[in-house]
Amino acid sequence: MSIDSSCRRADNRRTEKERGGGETGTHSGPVGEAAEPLLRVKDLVKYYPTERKGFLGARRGEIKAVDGVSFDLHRGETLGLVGETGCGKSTIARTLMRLEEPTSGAAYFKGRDLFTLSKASVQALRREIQMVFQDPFASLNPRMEVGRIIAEPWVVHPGIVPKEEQRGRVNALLERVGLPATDANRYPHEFSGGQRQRIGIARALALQPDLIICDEPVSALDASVQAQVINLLVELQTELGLSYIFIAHDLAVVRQISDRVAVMHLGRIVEVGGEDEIYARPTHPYTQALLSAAPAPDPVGRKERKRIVLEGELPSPVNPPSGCTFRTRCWKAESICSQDRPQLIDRFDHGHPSACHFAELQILPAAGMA
Amino acid sequence: MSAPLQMTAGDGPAARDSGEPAGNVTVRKLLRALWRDKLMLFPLLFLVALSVAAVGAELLAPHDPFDQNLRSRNAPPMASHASETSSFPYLLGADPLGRDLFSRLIYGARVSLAVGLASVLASGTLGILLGLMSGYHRGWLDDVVMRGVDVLMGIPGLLLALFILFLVGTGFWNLVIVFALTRWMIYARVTRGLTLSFREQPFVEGAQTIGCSDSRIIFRHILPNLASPILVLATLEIAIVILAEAGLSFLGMGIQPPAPTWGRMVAEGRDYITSAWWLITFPGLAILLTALSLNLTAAWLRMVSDPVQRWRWFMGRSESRHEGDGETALAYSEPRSSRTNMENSEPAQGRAANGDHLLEVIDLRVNFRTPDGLLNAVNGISYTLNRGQTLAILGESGSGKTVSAEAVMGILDSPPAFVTGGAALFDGIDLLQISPSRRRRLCGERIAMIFQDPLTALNPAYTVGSQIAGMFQEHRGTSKREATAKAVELMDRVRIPSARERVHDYPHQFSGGMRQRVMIAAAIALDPDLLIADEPTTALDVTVQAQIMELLAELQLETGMGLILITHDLGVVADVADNVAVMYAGKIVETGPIKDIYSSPAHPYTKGLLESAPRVDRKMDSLQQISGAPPNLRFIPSGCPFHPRCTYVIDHCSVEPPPLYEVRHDRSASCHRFEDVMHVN
Repeated sequence: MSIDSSCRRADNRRTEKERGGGETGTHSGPVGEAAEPLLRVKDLVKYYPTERKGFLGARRGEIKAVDGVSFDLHRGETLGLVGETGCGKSTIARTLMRLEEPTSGAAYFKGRDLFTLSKASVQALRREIQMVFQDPFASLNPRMEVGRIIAEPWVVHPGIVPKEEQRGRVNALLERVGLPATDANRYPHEFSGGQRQRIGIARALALQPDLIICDEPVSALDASVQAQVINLLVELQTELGLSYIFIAHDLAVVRQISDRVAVMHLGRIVEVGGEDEIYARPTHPYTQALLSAAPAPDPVGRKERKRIVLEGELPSPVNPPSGCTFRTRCWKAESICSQDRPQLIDRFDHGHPSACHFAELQILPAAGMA
Repeated sequence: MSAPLQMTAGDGPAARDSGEPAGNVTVRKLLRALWRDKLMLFPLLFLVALSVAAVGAELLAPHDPFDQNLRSRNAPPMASHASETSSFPYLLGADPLGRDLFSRLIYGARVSLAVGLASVLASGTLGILLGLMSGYHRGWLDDVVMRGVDVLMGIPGLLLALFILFLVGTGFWNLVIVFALTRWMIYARVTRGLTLSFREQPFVEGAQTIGCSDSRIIFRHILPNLASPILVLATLEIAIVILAEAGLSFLGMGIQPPAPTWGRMVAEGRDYITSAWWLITFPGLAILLTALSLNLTAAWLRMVSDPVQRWRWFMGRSESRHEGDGETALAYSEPRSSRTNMENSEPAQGRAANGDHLLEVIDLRVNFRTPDGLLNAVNGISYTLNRGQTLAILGESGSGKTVSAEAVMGILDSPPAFVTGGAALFDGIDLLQISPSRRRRLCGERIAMIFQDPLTALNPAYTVGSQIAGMFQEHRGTSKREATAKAVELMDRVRIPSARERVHDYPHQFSGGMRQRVMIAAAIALDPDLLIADEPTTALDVTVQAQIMELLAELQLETGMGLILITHDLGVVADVADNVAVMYAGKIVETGPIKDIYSSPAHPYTKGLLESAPRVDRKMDSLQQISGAPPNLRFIPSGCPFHPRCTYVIDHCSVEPPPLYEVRHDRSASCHRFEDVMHVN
């Protein structure tokens, strides 16, 4: 599949390239359009090979985990990536962290392409982009004291914090994420899930990064602890001017933390825009279905809620449908949907592009502030 | 740990490693485990004695092991010494050259242990390094190493050793080299397997993201986590090497005479087996006991270092042991007053005998007896469910919501879990009292349960059709043909597309949502009166979740069955439940009609949960949050279990456990200040 057909109209591709990015995601960032984004991802593609033994030797198939994704991220901004299992949101995080090599595409971080950097430059880059993982039980080395876990980045990157100051800095970081400094001598198994996630955040902060990629950071946490971690992330952002890419399947969590949201379906962004645009004025049927399916803690209104229940199953990313990948579950699908892949363009001058031939504005009522 | 119950599952790296985090802690844990398992003292003391003997042979041996005395040829044990140099008798007799057997055994221990330790060190280092490299880097190195392993594993080790020794000659270091070359693959295989799984762990990826070099990741992050399995392996290997060395010495290819080795002592004693039995018996015993002690030690190390094994081992103990532990660990006991109060409040929920009551749970208590003490999972909960109603049991991990349902279904893992009190009346029959066979019949026919993960709940070896049809064959004696026809009908009813074709497919051929439909089809096959759904949609995507919840609601409407929905998701509860019971630390803290509770919660925990939940339809400036974390069930706070996290807390709360107060005629909450909670909104 050609990566050209991803997020821009093929006919005016060149002019858009010159302008540097097209409509995709340059809107409603806290910094004006003129400012250079912190991160600009362009046509990111990641295919995983799958080997199938055919009758005449091995035939190679591909899982199209990410199939042409472009977005911008500005300084101090949070971009939420939301979608169902297998939509490729975590793969984006892993390729940006260089835990996986992308199949093609580019990601300009402060103007440098992350994907073409040498190994040595990647190490230097680690200082500026950090990651918080989903599973707080598996993401900390069980054999290392918390103090050593947090200080390890300084051992790996000498010269940032001198050895004699490390102890104090660890204590300060622990206190910043809401843990007592005495915890530095304890081991990860002595902490609860929420506390471990705080430790993970403290380690991510140790190198004073500009960007933190959070991959489902609260989905393994108990409900009463989720809010603590979300609030902590927001506080840190305001204080340190961090940018986040916040990946989650929980629409409510994503809304709470994000400035802008990109909705993903089968390796592509189907709609992107400001948080209020996506949640209050969705235009893509998939976004509308997701929002209507999300359970709201509101038993009074449940009878009146009109719910779009999608029929059928998520198609396989090995063999995605032609044209629009959502058409097999879409109630609006017509023949054009199977022939033409809809481009991600602003269809209502709302500043939020969506990839649907039949995009339609839906105004959702906001919940009253009880 | 916030979720101690996870330990019962026993897998997952977190649970595995929580047992032995680091050097000093491990030593303390080992000593404690040793104290509990006093029998292990024997092999360990034997090994200690052996090591002391090997190190201090010069001091301990009563005679020179090379000192020949032809007058004492084959002297029996305890025979007095023939020469005047020493008055000490031949403790274990003398050999054909008149050498003291006991002294030779002590010197032999030095040889055996030295060969054993040196060989294990050499083969271990080689194997672990190769295993780490091939597991971490994979690629061609992995191919080469693993093919080498395959080839070497296919050749009998002793033959290979003999062949190499034949080429290079005998001697201590040659033996060590031979063992290194013939035993390394044991370590390589284990190390590679573990490394492969660890390199996918988030903590290793985390190390990558902070810029750790490969060697730092291998030696600082992966290697320390391999310590305990490798230690077990190495202990076993010492025994194997000592046995192999004895074998080689027996064949004359080990350490050369006159150095005393156990293997050659056995070989030499063979000729005198009828005339001087001690010559072969004592070295043989030494070999046997050493190998046995090492094997026992390895088995014991494996048990204490692996929580899953430790659990089983602990559970094999006699009941009296539990009680002993229970007395010391009883961290939480319910005061009588609150129990009576709770019963008083029950008429409010309509306790009186009533035909509508499908299930009535009264003061249910469950605890877990674990190696670390008693865990109070369910501490006296009561609820009722009427026909056609949906009761949601809402709680976080470790709140006891699943355990209480498993107790009702009679599917608790027992041990470690035990029902310690209460009743569960289903249509007047106490499910906790009836015989297992009667309960089994009841639970298939009239009560059914569906689980969070349909992939593990369905048997992967059978087609989905046969698993649904099994319900009819088992309980109704329906013929296979007819049962399959009914299975197709049911699959249609839960809206699995093209049911007729898919009835012969296996569970793995279905997606998560379809598998959950299969589970539901099997559960409703016999038209149960009660369906218990344990987090039925947690593993599913939000669009599929909506489909499944809609299906359940429709089925309930059609059949009039009662539904207990166990979940942590406030939104799911709001969508389907009539009544809700909120659980915290093994107790119901608030119960009543869903709409009332959501609009004016009476317990600070419920209120906190509702306020802290992010919403799809509104973005808040910042989320209200509940401070702290759910309690460890081994140490539930005194008084009200929620008081350390509560914003309404008063002195009274930490002393007096709040009873389940009647808030209104159909609502109750266990908070001393429920009135304040309800009115400050």
